[in-house]
Formats: sequence, structure tokens, C-alpha cells
Amino acid sequence: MQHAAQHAVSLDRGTASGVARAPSSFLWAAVDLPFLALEALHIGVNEYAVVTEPSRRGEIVHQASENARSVGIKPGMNVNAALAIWASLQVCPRDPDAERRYLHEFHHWAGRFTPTVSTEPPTTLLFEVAASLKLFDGVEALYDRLRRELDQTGHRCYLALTPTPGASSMLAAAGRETLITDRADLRMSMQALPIHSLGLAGETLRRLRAAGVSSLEELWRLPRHDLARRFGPDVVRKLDQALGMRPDPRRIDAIPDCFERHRELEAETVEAGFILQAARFLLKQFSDFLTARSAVASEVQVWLKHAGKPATRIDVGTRLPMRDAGQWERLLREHIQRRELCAPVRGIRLSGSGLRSINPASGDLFETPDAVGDWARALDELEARLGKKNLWMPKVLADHRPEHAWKRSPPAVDQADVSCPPHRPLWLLDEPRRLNCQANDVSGSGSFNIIDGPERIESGWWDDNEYCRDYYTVVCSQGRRLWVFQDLKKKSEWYLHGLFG
Amino acid sequence: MKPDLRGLLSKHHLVWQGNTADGKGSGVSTGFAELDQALPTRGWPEAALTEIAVPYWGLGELRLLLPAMVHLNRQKRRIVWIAPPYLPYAPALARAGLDLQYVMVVDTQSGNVSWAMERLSSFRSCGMVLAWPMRLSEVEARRLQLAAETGGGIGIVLRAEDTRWRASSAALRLKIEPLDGEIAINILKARGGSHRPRVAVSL
Repeated sequence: MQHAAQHAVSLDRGTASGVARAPSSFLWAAVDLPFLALEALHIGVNEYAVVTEPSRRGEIVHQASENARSVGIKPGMNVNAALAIWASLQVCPRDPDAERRYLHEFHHWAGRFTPTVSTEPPTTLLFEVAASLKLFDGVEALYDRLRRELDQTGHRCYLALTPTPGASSMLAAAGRETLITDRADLRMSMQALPIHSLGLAGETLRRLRAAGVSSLEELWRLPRHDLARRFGPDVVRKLDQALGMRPDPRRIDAIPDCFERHRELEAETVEAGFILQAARFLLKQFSDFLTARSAVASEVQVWLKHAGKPATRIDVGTRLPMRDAGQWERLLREHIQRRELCAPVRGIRLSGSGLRSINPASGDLFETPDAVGDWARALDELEARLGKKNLWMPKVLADHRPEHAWKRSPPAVDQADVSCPPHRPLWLLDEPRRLNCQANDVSGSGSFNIIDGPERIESGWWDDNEYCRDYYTVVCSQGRRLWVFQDLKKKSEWYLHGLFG
Repeated sequence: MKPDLRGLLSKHHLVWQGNTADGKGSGVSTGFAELDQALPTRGWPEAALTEIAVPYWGLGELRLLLPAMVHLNRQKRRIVWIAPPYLPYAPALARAGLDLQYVMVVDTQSGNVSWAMERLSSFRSCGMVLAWPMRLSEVEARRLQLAAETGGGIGIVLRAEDTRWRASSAALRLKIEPLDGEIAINILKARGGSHRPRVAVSL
């Protein structure tokens, strides 16, 4: 490539560590996406295509693909002029929202290296990495890693690492891949840059060009006080900022707290496999998002979008907050397979909640899954497949009434210490079942033998479930031991309430 | 069998012999001395599947299993009930000595019973996994047996139908019947061999 990395490396090789820098020094990485407008519309650089934007002169070319450039189409050109050059040119209007979304994705990616990230629309991302050098094994290893990960994104982009944000963004925007760690080398590497790199106002730029200045080198040759007087203070300020002689504050964007992304499917489908494929992509981004924030999440909401029908919402929850995209996918698969879809799915929206930062004390829990993590994961899978309410732990409550002396509680909660009465059956019926017999049948005839009782339970006057019952333990002719009661309020009817199992 | 022939067979593992020591595994005492005596593992076989046929629920199947449950529970191992026919009644379980923190119930339809059991049996922390499946195919039983071998716990399948004549890969198969005040336990199959086909247990 013509923009081969121009490594102006000047590391302090004499020192033991190789990256020993004063803590006050900065290292700014700039990533410039020259084809962002095209890529946001999924247009390859090898097509003959332009992205247009409205202007006073009508629609003009905002960005041209590489092939379009090769035939002479340039940004700023009128669309009709471009079409005159290449009749079959693909013309698309610009989508600033899509561009912003793409830039945000890079923001999340950069957040994995540093919290100090600044998006500089339209096409540049700046982040300060000096504090992270040790973590990523020094500046060269970091540069290589950034470059490698950028290659994997599939976007055309340029990366520059220098001590000042101004120099980094100018070099990246000019397509010069640079790694400079010493401020003294900045001027050397920037002198060939054209003056429009400085981002000056149109009028200043025009006057500079009229004076015969086209590169920064020529600008630096002019007397400094003359420069400010003739072309305004902006020129000197920007030059000084780029060389680090003047502070250059940048707006640091906080990484957004909520995660919400969507993805369109290539075709409408009801196939769980295709839906999961798209979801996998979003979950991977969610996982990156969590990594950037040193966070874990316990809930993911997925909306499956249909044509002309309200979206199907699926909530996936876990008991141990996590960030592993694979595990989220396993849970989501169970949910999607269980769900009847009302219509084909055309897109997926995914958002995450229940975010919390990792407690350093329990950090190893997430790195090396131990038995507790495995167990929680298994319960999540069971809940995802069987439904949340179908997984429970029996819990004892302090109440005399048998139906109220227990409850279902969600797994993994503390058990209160409650004393339990003797003579209770191991099996309880959902509802007491009425027996077709009379009192004297039970006590007198041979169909039942009372072996214990009666135990009178009369309670519940404080709510609507007041009752008065005599409970007996009986053995029936089959040899089963049963728990029956006589309802003293309802004409002394007999009910079966439990089995001793 | 001649001694040299026996030596040859055991040396080369040519024939699997049901009553040899390597067919046996470890067991957890059932809490009933007569039953322990009759079983080759001297208790409920660990890392294996046990199938219990019960003509009707409430005959004493839970009381038969309770002592082992309590024993495992004391070691903080979980007892999981999958698709029980009635509600496991918390006060009675607590009274029997179970720590309910380690008792979990999974309510599910027939199709998911063996899946849930297989998933949970593979955990070391699950001391006993009990399931009441409506149906259980031979393939599912085999998978459950393998899952129990992975987790090392006791897998128990309780079935109301008479499955005596069906093949099963369960390590132990029992059928219980009422017997005036006691219950009779018929040992249909025991890996490792059993010399007593029928045991009466007083619960």
C-alpha cells in the first residue's frame, strides 16, 4: 500500500524498560476512516459509487469510492458532473446517523484500551493511550495490536500515534500511518502535510494559498509574528497545538451507559439459526461494550422485528452477571427455540441492562469458571428452557395452616430457621381432594385405619383463609399412608391433603 | 471353573463377570440395614442410575430414600426433584432433617424431564437427582446413566408403570410393593450381583 506505516520510532532504547516516559507525557492515537460515509451505507470501495450531500450548488459529491476517484471523480464535484464522467455511477445520499453509529462502534472498541476517548466527527476517533502502555507491553506492541484489530473490522482506516492529539488526527486524516513517541520528531513528520490538514476556516485557507503556501513546511518557514498578523491567530495556535507547545483540550466522551444496537437480517426468516447468527454478532458487540466498561450484565432484551407487526420481545436473564457472548447465545437459543414466532423476522434489536462493574474481589469468578459459576449457568439454562417459575426451592413459613406453611422460592436464597411440626406428609396435594365417605366410614369401617390424630388446626382469622380442621394420619387398604382432614366448618366433609410417600 | 482358566479370563478381561468386584462401585447407605446387605454397593449406587418401580405414589418411596437424602444433604450436596407427581412438602422435608437450601424442585413436562436430569446429574454438587418421567426410552436411560457417571451423584428414576420386562441400562432396578405395614423391595437387577432378590423393609 502507498500508505505503508512510516514508523518514525524514537524510543528511549537506552533505558531498561524501553518505554520509560515521564508520566506527564501523552500518547494520542487517532483513527481516521476515510471511507466512512460509503462504508456506513455498505458500499464497497471497489464499486463505482459516490455519497452525495446537498449544498448551495445542488447535490455534490461528499465521498467517492476508490474506483470513482481513479476515473477523476472528486469530493465537492457536482453530481451531474460526476455522472458525466461515469454514466453508471452509483449515487447514494449521505446517512449521517449511520456514520455516527459506526463511529460509536469504534468508540466502544477504543474503550477497551483507554477511558479517554473522543470522537471527532465526521471521520476521526481520538484516544489517549499513554496510561495503558504497560498493560499492552509497550508502544510498539500496542501499535501493532491496534493495527491488527482495525484490520479485522473490515473498514479502511489509518492509524497514527503521536504525543499530541492535533498531530495524530492530522497525520491519520492525511493517510500517513505514523508512530512517534518524541515531541521533537513531530515537526519533521508533519512538514509535508498540506495546509488544509490544519482545519482552518475557508477564508484563511484561501489567503494562505494565495500567498503561495501549500504545506506546513512552508508555513513554518514564515516568520511567526508575521503569520499571526497576516492570517489571524488561529494559524499559529493550531501549529503550536499540533507540536505540543500549547494545550489542546479535547472533549472526552463518556462511554454511553446503555447498550442498544440493531441489525437487519439479510432476508426475512423464521429459522432460529439465522436469527441467532445475527444475534451472535450483536452479543459479541455487547461483550466488547462490557469489557470496555469493566462491567458485567445480568439481563439482555432482544426484540425480533417483524414486518407490519409489533416486535417479539425476549428477555434473557442470568443469575451471575457475565459478559461471555457464547453463554448469552446459549441462553438466547433456548428462548428462541421455545418461542412461537408470529411472523418472519426481519431484524433484531438488542439492549443490555443490569450492568454492574466487576467487583475486583470476585474477579477470578469470571475468569476461571468454578463450580459456583457452572451451577449458576446450568440453572440459567434450565430457566431459559423451562420457564422461570418452574425452578424453585421449597421454603418453610411460620404458619399453622398446612397450605401456608411453605412457599416456592427462587433458587439460591437464604432459608430462615422455622420450627416444623411433626406428622407432616412428604407429598402435599395442590388442592385438598374431597373424599366420598362419611366420618364413621373413616373411623369405623375397614377402608381406613387411623394411626395418628386428630390434630386440630384452627387459624387464619386474619385473612380470608380461615379454617378449622382435624387432621389424621391414616393407612388405606392399598397400604398407603395418607394425611386426611375433616373440615369442621363444611358439614364435616373429609378431604385428602397429603401422602406420606 | 478351573483356576488357570479363571486367571486367564480375568487377566485379559475376556469376559465381563457381573459378580466381580470391578462391577461394584461405591454406595451411600440407604439407612435400612436389610436393604444395604442385599445391595452389592451396600447402599444406593453412586455415579449410577437407579430405577424404582412403584405401583402407586405414596407407598413409601420417599421414606425409603429419605435417610440417604439427609446423609448427602449434610455434606452440602444438592437434592433435585424433577417433575414430582405432588408437591414436596417443605415442613415435612425440614422435619426429616433436610436442609432446604440444598433442595431444588424442577417442574416440567415429560419432554424435558430427561434433559433436565441429564444436565443436573453431571454436577458434582448434586448428590441425588430424582425424576418422575412419564416415559423413559432406553436411549435416555443410557444417557442418564452416563451423566450420573460424570457427576458422581445418585440418579433415581421413579416410575409408576411396571417396567420389569423392559431392558434398561440402570445400574440398579427395584420394584416396591406393599407388604402389611412394611414394604417389600424386589431387586430386579443389580450391577455386581445380588444374592437376595426380595427384601422387606419396615419404614
